[in-house]
Amino acid sequence: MAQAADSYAELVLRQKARPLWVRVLTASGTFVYRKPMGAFGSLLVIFFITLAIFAPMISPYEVGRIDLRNSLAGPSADYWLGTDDVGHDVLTRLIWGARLSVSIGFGAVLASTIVATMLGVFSAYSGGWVDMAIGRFIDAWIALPDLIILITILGIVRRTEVNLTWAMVVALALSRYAGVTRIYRSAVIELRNRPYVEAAEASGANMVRVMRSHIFPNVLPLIIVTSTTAVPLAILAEASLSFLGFGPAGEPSWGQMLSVDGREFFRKQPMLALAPGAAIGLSVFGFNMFGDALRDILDPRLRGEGR
Amino acid sequence: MGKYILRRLLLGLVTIWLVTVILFTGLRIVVPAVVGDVVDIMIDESAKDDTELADRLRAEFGLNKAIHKQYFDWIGQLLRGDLGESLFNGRPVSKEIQDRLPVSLELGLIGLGATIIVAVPMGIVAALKQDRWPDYLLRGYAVGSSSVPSFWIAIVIITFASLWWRWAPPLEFTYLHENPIQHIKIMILPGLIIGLTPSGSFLRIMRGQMLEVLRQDYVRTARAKGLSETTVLYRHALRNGLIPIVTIIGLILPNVIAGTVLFEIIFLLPGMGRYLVESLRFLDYPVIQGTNIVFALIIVASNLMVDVSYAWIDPRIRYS
Repeated sequence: MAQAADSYAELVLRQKARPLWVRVLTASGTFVYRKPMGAFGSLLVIFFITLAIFAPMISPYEVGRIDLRNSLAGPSADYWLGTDDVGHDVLTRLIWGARLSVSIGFGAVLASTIVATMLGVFSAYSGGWVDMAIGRFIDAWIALPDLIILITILGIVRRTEVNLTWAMVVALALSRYAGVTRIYRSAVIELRNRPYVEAAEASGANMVRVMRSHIFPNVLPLIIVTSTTAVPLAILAEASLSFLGFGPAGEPSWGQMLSVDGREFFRKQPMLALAPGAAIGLSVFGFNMFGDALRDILDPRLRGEGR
Repeated sequence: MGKYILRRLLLGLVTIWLVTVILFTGLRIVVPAVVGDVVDIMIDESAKDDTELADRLRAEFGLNKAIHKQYFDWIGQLLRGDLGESLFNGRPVSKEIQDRLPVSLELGLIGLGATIIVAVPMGIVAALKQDRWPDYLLRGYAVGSSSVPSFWIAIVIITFASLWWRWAPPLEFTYLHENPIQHIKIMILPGLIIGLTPSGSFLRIMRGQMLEVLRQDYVRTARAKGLSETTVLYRHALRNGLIPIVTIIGLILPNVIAGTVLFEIIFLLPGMGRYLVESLRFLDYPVIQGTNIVFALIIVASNLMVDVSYAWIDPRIRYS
């Protein structure tokens, strides 16, 4: 510190006076120093998101390109990770698989978060029998295991013309929303009983105002943390479902690359089994580490708890 | 205690009833509206324009009745313990589930057992050696096991075992009473891998719980009055640290069930999950409804056991 601050206010002002990029840089520096694993995780997250967004530009070949003469080739200068049984470049399919995984993961979490937030807030604010009815309904929904919901929905929808990517997003959202609704509902109820919210309500602030300036800012960290930790679970679920053959056919996905159709070739070209597994593992690991670090920072009360 | 159990039991019944409402609404109202019903699928290829046949089939399955009547018929059946018959092969669903549930339960129990045996000691060690290398190692294991998909582990094991040792899991399923050794050979690998994914989160919760207990006043008191570290550990810390295991089992149960479904499909085991998957293609709704209800019953029953055992251990819960 160059000179002692005369007052706290001055210190705050000086902080604010620093340009944005300095503040961002300092914050990231602190993050890397305090949470090295979280920083590593966020690097992986950025890496996979970049792959997803720029897949058409990054991938060495076009998605559907087939090189029959080089089918089941091992890693080489042309095909870094080799090719599969019909001569698809494995690296290209991995990169496009990132696109599917990341978009389904984010899409499902976003959809379920929106539904759960609205339902949770509505339930908490309604109180009485409405709250109770929603609570029992949520209980019933949670009694159905996630994978059972997913398989049931996708297994039925699979034989129709429905776009399976969207179907998967919807199914994943339906399998997740209930659990988070329960969390958000109790968070909102707890907040509503806090003295400062009671004070705001007593002094005549209307519901929208209380929501906007007292409830929402305090639930937001919880929403961010639960959503971030849910993305890797959604990615894993997507991989499992595609692996079982419930995923969108034709689109390259990590789970589908590991599915039964290709299994007989794994012995000839082990990279076919290793590469997609590594991609799933690394992305899930990255999101997990990032989510854990975020949870420690945003919601210290949850620290160290399992999910 | 009796009153508490009764209240929980009633709540469980309400939950199951709502599960039937959800399932019925989804499968018999939403799905037919969006996808078409089971009769549409049955006559899809052969007799698309044969409306007379379609009507006759609907009448036979009772699908032409008013929708609320269909629901009450089904509930009446359920209350009599009858899950109906498959619309395609006419076999009673409850009979089929009787054959298949033991396979799934066995898989799940092997997985659960493996998880507990691995995660409990590891969680305790991690807590005792907090922030030293065993802790980091075990936390690494926890993160790794929840990041790597279990089905991939299965694939890698199968691929490389056949590559290096020319070993492959038996393809033909044998029941325990037919050939016990062959049966174990088939079940052990999928069972153990099912336990892998939940073991990570189990370990983390276990570690957190042990750390919590080790910080308690009574542990400090035990140390302060000069008890040996072993006594403190076994008599005071461990006993209390192990209490939440029941809760954790309840928490990871859906995970284990998901594992059994996944591995029944991978290893071609005749369990509940595969039964459900096979019925979906034809929209065989008695089977879909029946299996879903059974899964929900398992979850609700286990939650009930968790709640009751918790109230039994901690009397404060009973009176709140």
